[in-house]
Amino acid sequence: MPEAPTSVGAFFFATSCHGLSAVKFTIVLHAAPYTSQASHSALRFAQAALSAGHEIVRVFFYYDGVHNCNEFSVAPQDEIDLVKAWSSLLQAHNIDAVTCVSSAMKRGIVDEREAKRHELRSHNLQAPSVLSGLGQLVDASLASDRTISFGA
Amino acid sequence: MTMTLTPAAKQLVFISRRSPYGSAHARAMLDMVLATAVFDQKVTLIFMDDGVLQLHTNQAAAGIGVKDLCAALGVLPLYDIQKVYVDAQSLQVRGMSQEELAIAAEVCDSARITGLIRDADVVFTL
Amino acid sequence: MQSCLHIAAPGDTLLLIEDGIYNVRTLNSLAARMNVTLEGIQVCVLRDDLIARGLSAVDLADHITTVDHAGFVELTCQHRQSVHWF
Repeated sequence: MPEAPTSVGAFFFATSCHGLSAVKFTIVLHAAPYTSQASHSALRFAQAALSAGHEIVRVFFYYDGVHNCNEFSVAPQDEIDLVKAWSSLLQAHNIDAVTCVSSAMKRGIVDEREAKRHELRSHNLQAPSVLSGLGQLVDASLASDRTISFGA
Repeated sequence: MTMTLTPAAKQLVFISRRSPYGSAHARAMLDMVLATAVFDQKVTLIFMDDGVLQLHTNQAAAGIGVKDLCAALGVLPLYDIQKVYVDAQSLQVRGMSQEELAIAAEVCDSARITGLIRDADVVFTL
Repeated sequence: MQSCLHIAAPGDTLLLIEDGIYNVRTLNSLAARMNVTLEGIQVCVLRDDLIARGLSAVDLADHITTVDHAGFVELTCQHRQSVHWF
């Protein structure tokens, strides 16, 4: 009998403790919008965390996750516009958002400063995210109660 | 943007699960690990699943137009990242010898890894 | 998924999301083949991901529960470590 392949998509939670109230979260997103479900999963998690009264210290877009900050993304009218959805959520709740500069530059996501520096025609970093380094991810994690990552 | 004050040292555990070169995951994970260096935290790096393939000896990546990941892993001690573990079972199923790893690392069983995860304040996997 | 089961321990909660949902029927046999036990491990699935894929709570073994996104957040709050496995 051939074995069924195992699909992936899981979290495991270890070391139960007294549930914290008013938790500070850092959310890391590694995956591009639309290519996988991860961006939407992360967005739903963020929305649920905020609805429960928790705080999101920072959303850090890393690796292919930087594509969630591409202002030039245009979604079909009958689909969720994930780039705009993230932007709206971050702005509505005044959440700090960082797009990893090295991941972004390689993938053609640039802010105005980098566009000028590299003499590019235009810039496309979706507000309110800013370009910065991985240190911002570490810094946010250290300041948070929980860090949760999405996408691979 | 304001930098927040660094609180007391946390235990950060990184689990690297992907092979090198075919995708950029392994390099991205390493970059995360190295980014912790200036923060003076307790860092543990674990290689599991296809991540153990990063430790294959004799890597020479110039011919595929990328930097050698193994050479990059060699700087871990310079960043004071000393706690490096490799999952024994992941090595075994991939036909890799415990004696032939490109960097210094402690080969351990899954029970040890289970324990390392439970000592963590934050776990990153990629 | 196999390696995830190797490092999970009694007292942990395993949450299947996205395509991980497809493991829900085969998790026990997978564990048996790997010679690991799921005893003491709470298995949950994310409800919206389950329903999207044509399954429902009635398809689940008795010990598997569904959670919504609020429950997902709560799991994160109630455990020191949240480990994503993709």
